[in-house]
Amino acid sequence: MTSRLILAILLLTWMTRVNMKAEVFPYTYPENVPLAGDFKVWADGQEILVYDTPVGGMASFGSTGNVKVRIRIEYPFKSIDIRPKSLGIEPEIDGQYLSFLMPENQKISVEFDKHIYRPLFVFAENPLSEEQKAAADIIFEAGKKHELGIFNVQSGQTVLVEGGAILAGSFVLQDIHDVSIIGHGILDNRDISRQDGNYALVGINSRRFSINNIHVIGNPRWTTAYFACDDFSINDVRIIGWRPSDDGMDIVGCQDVVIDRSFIRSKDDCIVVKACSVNKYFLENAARKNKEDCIGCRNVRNIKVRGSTLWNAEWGNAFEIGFETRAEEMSDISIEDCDIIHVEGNGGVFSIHNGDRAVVRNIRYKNIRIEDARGYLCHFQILHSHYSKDSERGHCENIRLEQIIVSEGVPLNSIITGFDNEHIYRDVFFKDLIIHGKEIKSAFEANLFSEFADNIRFE
Amino acid sequence: MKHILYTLIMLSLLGNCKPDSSWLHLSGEMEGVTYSDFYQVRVNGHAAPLYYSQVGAFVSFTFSGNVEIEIECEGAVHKAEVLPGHLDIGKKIEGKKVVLSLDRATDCFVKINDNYVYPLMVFAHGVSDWMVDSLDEKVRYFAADRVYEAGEIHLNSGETLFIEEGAYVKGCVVAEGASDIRICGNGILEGSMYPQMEKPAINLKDCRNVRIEGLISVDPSFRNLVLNRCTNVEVKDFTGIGTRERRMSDDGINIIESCDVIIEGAFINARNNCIALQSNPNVTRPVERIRVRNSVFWKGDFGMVMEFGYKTDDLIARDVEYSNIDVLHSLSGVFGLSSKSGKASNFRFSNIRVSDVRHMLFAINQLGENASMVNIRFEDVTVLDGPICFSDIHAITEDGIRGISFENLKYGEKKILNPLDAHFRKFKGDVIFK
Repeated sequence: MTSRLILAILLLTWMTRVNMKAEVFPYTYPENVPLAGDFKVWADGQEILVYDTPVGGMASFGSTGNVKVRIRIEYPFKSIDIRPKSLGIEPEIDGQYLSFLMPENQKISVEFDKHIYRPLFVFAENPLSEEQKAAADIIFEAGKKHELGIFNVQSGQTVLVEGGAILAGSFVLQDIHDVSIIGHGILDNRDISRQDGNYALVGINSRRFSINNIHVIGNPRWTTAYFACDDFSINDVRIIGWRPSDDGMDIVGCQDVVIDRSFIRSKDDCIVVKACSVNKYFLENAARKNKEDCIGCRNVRNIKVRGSTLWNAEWGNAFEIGFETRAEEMSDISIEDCDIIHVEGNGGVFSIHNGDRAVVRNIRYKNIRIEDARGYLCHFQILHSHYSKDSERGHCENIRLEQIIVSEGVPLNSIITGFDNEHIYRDVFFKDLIIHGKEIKSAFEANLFSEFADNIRFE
Repeated sequence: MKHILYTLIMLSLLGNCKPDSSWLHLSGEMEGVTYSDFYQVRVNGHAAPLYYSQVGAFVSFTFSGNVEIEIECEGAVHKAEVLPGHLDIGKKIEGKKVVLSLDRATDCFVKINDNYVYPLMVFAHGVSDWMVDSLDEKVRYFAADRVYEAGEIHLNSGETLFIEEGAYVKGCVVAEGASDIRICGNGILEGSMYPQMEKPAINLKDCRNVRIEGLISVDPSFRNLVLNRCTNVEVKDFTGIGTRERRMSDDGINIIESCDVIIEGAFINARNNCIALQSNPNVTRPVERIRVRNSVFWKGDFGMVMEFGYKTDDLIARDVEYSNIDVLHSLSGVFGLSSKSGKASNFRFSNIRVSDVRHMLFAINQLGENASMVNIRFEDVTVLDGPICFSDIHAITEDGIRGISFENLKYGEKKILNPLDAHFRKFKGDVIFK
């Protein structure tokens, strides 16, 4: 009887959480924002603006609890994929409408008839607390467009980009500490040419900062990049890119970094860990000429990526280490509990391209769910590439891949190739690798081709 | 002629004579050649040397009659595809082995358990009378069963280069301003010793009346076969095997400002483009009257299988036909017609079978106002298998892309009659489906 009572209380509590606390807060956008005419979206009955991009519509809204999302699509469709599939969202379809329960603070891609070039991204976002808003030193208000130019954030500042604010330009965190960027606004750089383009958000030689909630869209170059920065986090950031070399997040010569609960759809690499210089275009555009050029040529340590969803489009890879590895050591990098919903091109889900001198060691990929990848599962190389600058080659050791599940898509092969007998991959462990339902226990079963590699094991 | 007779005698002596008088010639392993142990291959019971390349291992031999090829793997074989599939080569799977039965000369891929990263290539040659006289001073003769550190081989007008099946030549071939040259034989030309992007395996410039027959080019430091401003070229049964290094542009055949080119029976396994039509920096003449037929293409990471795109500034390419082509694998694209200022007209792609293409099918893009793609016909193109790939047709001026027709385009059994079913991502231009 007691257990039934407890169960009833728990059920009531859960139902209260699901049904009573669900609330939707649509954002107020300025006029003349790009609208996706082919989708209409409602969240708990409130219409949500669908912001257009060339690679899909984006419906973002603040919400608490799980909310009912209803979508109308203007052309006929036969099949639906809602990714990541690990969320288990099952839509109800009624003619041109579909509806489903959207989990709290989640990011999904709704795809119709496998047309992956025209999905609808739906982002349910936890609202900021009043305390968070009150802490802001600088506010970019909702319902307005803001020309940022190169906006230098100072130490100690909190910058609030309100949901519904539309920004263009770049945030620069240079030689600063104790900074936060918060808020659900959109940094949309689609109208900035590649020639005039810059990082949308860049950290240089900074520490103790966090980047939270912001949407970054259509950047003409690396979208966000951090050079020689320590002790910082990136949380709930959403990136949608479609332009050449638009890497989602470049972590360059950094230490003690957490990337959490983010969503990246980029044409080039989604998340990249490197050791190299700040790019020339930034030096030119941001008058950084008097600073040391190779500030990012620094050891990399303790990088954690978790709870994120990645879509790598035509170029690059989903998780990349390299090609630039101009440091003594790049170590303790972990990628955990992530969903890879697409790798469209010839790249790898997991790639290490050690193109310079670093020893790359202690890399862990764990609990990764892979849906539609088409290139390689692992693309690990030590090589002299066209990005290489060091004359000597490095090596790679202690790489663990655990609980890797490829649930659908085409067969995926892997490559692990060192450079020569002196520069090799050593100690690569696969544990609980499952491809299309089959547990893989050998390199042969994995279709893994290796050269200059020692001790590749499957458990 | 004497050498051919000698070779035939050796074939009889060395081969495993079966009751039906089949015979074969298999070279032994030679010092200085890199071999692969990814598979163990036996031909009619004899251990076959398995040549190494970065993009697959291969066996090469000459035979008549029937042969049985036994391929042994490290683990159990669940699936084995002998490609192109329409060759209909007999095969059986026995545990860790796949056994093929050949009764005719064949070049094919063997893809085991969906392994596309390191397939086996089989080059089973029939006996050819190359009509090459080793004593002729105009003949550069590389005989079988030897490794040659040849370096750059320069060919002059009227000369023949013969690389016999079983010969392994390290070097590259160059000719400039030569006419009536011939490169032939089923031997191997390897170019990995040169710095990356430096020397194509065969680089012909301003040459006329060229015949290339046979030859296996492997691991070139740059492209496999470059025809630069050449006229009247016949390429028959040429094999180009590329590389995997990132810096490599390992294109199969580059046709640069050349005309009257026939490519017949090419077999290309490249990481980059298989066939590329291109211009030099200061273009002086068009690419025209190009025929590519009865060929097999397997492409890795970059570029397009049949490409008019990169390096086509101000190039005019016209009267180009691809027919009876098997595209067996591509991690990127297949049909590429994209240019900033090049003009492509009167192209015909017919009877093309496409398998396991992972990314893009058609990329037809007018990237600058001066570029145009006019009268491009795709006839009987069938996508046999693989994931859904997107395509683009994108004109930026009203008449930039016109006369594009898809006739009997099929995805599996489904005939495609509209851009939505063809998964076009961009669709702007004068295009019809029928």
